[in-house]
Amino acid sequence: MTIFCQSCGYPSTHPLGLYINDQGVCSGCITHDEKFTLDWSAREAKLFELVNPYRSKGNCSYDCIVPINGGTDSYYTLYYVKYILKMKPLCVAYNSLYMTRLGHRNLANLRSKFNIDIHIHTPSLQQVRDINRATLYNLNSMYWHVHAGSTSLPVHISIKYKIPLIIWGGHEAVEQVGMYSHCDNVEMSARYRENHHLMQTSMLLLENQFLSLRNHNNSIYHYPDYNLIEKYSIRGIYLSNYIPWNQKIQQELMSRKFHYRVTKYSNTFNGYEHPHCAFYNGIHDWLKYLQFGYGRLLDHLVREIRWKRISLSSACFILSDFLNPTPPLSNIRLFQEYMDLSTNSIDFLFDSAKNSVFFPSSDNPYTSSIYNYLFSNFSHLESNIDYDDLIGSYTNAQCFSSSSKPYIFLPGFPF
Amino acid sequence: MRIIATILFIEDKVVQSYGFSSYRIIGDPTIVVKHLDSWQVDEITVLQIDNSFSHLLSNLQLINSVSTTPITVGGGLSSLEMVKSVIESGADRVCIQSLVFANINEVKTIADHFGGQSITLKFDFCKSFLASTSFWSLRFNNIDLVTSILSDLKSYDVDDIFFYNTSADGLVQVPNFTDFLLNYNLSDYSIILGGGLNPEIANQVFCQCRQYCKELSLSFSNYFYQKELANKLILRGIPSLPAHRLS
Repeated sequence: MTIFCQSCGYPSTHPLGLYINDQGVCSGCITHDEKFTLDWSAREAKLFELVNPYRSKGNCSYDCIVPINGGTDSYYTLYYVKYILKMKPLCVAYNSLYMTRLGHRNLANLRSKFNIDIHIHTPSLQQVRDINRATLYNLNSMYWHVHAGSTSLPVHISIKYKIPLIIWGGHEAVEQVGMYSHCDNVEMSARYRENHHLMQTSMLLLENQFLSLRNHNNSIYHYPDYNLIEKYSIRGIYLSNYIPWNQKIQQELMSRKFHYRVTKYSNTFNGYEHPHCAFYNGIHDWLKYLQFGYGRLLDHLVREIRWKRISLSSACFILSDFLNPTPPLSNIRLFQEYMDLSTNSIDFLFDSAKNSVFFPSSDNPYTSSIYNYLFSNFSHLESNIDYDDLIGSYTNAQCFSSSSKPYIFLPGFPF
Repeated sequence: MRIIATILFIEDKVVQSYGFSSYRIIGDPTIVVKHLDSWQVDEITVLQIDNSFSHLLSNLQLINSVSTTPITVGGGLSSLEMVKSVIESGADRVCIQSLVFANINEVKTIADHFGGQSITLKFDFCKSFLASTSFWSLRFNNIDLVTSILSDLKSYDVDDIFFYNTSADGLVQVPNFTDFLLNYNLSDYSIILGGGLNPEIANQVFCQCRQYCKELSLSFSNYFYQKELANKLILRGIPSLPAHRLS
């Protein structure tokens, strides 16, 4: 039976694992409240103590690795590492092959504004197509290769160049479901990666099941051996454990200072995140909606609630406009063509992804019981903001009208 | 000295506990155990803290299918039949807690059947020696009672004891075992200490407490989920260990 957090509305069926206590408050809200109560100055001082031993002695060496993708947290993480911690980062990026024109622009802009070196790995289109076929079949996911590549590549580069410290931005499980307290100072681990990023499916498992994958060099998707990690003392830390992570404020700051550009979406008010990806707010969000009964809209509303920018009632009232969504057909067709999938494959994918527990009605096949419950039970209380106001609050960053078409590479952008 | 990983379960989910008053879901047990195996922990203790026996059995079978590390299992075990099922499902030992106070004769029967070495006795304690959680409430600041239980079961070769500090939350409340152990004569027992341990205090605990017992082991829970290669970090935090354990 699904239960809901009485504070933010998140369902207990969250894929990362949400614990709801006897008072009806979820672990995500409890951890988020630490942002208002912890001594963040002291925690930031600890961060400086932690990174100091990693500063290289020479002028040319790198102090740390910063994984980036040109969007979301990349700008702020890099800004903090370079200008606050005053470290020399080597940036590492996994090219998902899903990047939009805006994504390429933001990445090029990041390179020139921050004057940094970037190591980019670009897989072949056929490799991504083959991996996607396997993961869409097994996991209903077209983002597995992005998670696998972007979490493994920095570790491989770290070992190759003997740069032991990797600095990440926010920890998604801490931010969304409070899997750890900020005080745990959780670090990067192969266990977390395999359990959550890879959805308990390693590349080894996929290769054993889908022999066509062995035609490619998949080494970048395999996490390095523990012996190497121990030998070079590789560790990955998260800035969100040491500074109060507030994506909206950070992204607006990056837009003002470094011209990070965003866009608008139809499925959510928050255009600040993932503007670099052609499919994240299209087919990827639709697959999430079918599997879990909610999409990025609820994730974003929960974040607004926890930051006390809107009430639970307002958030649930906003859901009324999204009770009868339709599939993003143009984005789906674009993905189908790009990944060379048949219409039958796509139809099979959506049929297998759709969880009947969350979509019980045959009259309204895409009406989620999660959204229905939230709207029916929480929206009657006092509201303090409506959807137009919410969209308005997310226009403080420079907006860029961009097509959702993906590009593997693009010619350079003017400085 | 053994490094023991204690995995807490609520239903089929591995959880972190903060002083048994707050929980966070970690994830899938097979992934957790697979990585603990890679780190070569000496032993894994599985505690079903909601006392759901059906979940305990299925979790144990799942863990056994991926792990070769010795497994101790506990959580609401209250009869010989339950212990039989657990041993047949792959457990190497059982962890007995409430049954010691509820029916010590049943514990003796289990020891007779499977041998005293198959039993680990677990006692929870906190600052005031009052052990209370949502599942039980026991007062054993009566040292004579605990001492008599231990000496009674010693004749059945039960000499493995797990002391768990429930007031240590792993964040702010640091475990204090020394004051607690001073009240008992445990020189003939193998002791496991657990509750809020991390490498920073592991060395202190080990050096201060090893004098009180025949063999001392340390049990870690939350820490294993928070750092890569936590096992190695723990071992490096205990420099009094023999060199081969550090390599």
